[in-house]
Amino acid sequence: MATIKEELRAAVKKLFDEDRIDYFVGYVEDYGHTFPAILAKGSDLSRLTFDRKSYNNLADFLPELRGSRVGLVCKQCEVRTLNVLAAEGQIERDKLVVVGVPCPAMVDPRKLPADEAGLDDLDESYWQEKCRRCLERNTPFADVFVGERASTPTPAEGWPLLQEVEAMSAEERLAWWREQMSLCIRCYACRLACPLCYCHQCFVEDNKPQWLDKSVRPENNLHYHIIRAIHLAGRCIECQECSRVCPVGIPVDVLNNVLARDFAERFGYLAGETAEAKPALTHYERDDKEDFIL
Amino acid sequence: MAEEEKQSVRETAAPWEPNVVGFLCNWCSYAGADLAGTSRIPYACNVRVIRVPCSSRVDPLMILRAFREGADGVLVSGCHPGDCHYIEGNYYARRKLIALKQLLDHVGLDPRRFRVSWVSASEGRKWAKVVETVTRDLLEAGPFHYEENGDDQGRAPGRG
Ligand code: SF4
Ligand code: SF4
Repeated sequence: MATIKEELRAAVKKLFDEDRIDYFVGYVEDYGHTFPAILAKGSDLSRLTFDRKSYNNLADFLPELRGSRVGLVCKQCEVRTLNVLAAEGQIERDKLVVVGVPCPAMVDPRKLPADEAGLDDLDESYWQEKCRRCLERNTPFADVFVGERASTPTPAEGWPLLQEVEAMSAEERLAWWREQMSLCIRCYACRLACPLCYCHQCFVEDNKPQWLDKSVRPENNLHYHIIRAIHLAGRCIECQECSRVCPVGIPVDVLNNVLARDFAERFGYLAGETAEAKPALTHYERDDKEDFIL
Repeated sequence: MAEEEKQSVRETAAPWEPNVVGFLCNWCSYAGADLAGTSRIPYACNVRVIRVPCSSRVDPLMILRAFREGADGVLVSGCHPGDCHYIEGNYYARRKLIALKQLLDHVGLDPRRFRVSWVSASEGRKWAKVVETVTRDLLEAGPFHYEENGDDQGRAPGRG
């Protein structure tokens, strides 16, 4: 039986041969690593892979490739992102060929044993945090599906770190966030890795008016992170790319989770669950629960 | 003038006065504040009013910027839900402000520093009461510095 890698390579070759796509966005393996790549027609497809280290959110590349016909490996992280991007008019679905895969749950490289022994059988304790909350392991709207369908997971409730922070008093939370913010060097890797931060001009670069002080001080860093969380309110699909790429290890996604949790409770809204749902901030109900307004 | 209103106004200025930035929508809250003035209702003078066309014009950026510029508190005030001059602006504003409120509460900002109110053009008395409430709370909360114990570089204590 062909492995998923072989099936994937054959499927992509077929897409290029039939001239259905100009680019393919997937993962390649090299130097013992798995990393995302954009392959053009005629590229070497022999390094294409899909394994337990394919944790990046590939939808990050789509707004840039807009206008081209693109094929894409699509696990659940990308599925939810595509739903949001489609609702916001950022992708042209008819130019996209979605290659579905059964997601085996991704491992966290920081937790991996040095020799990566038994990569395929590592249990939940080695997983990426996001994979514990995954809703569905198979791509629901795949144009091509490779591999065998995976079983439906039971998503874990809640976000452990958010719960930990919320158990603190207001003063402790202030101190905790101050501490985190004093580490941030404002490299904006979190923004770059975010598939939904696709603005050509971000508020952080605005000069007239200058909304955000350029100096890297905790209060300015917090200012940046709060506004970014607002811009992702009702949009963040919890792929945790922001926290994963942060060079100083700030769990940036906690702020996004605050809103995801509140919007789920308050508005019954989960970003990217369906392509039809109206984004939470471009929509309202007359009786939205307001509990703090004078 | 009602007895309670008289009492609510401080006779002498406190040693420190809170600076409140108020974003008021043109059609309801600004007119409501105007009515409070023309009706000669006495109330605290701590709110610096910025008139905006609609409460939905208030971007969370402006609110954080106000804090950065030294505000001790920020008040956003608009028409009651259902009464927006632009029909639905304040419904959108409400969701946006709820999101900001959640985040500010989460990062440990004193909830008394960021307030939202619905004040209509006929509610001069309510406006006076809102300002009194906000000012009194901020007098208790004290001046706002994000980096209270930080060094002069703005770093949190204990960091190089
Ligand atoms: S990736 Fe980390 S250090 Fe860089 S801007 Fe984001 S939070 Fe700050
Ligand atoms: S932080 Fe906001 S303005 Fe900047 S790229 Fe993200 S969504 Fe756009």
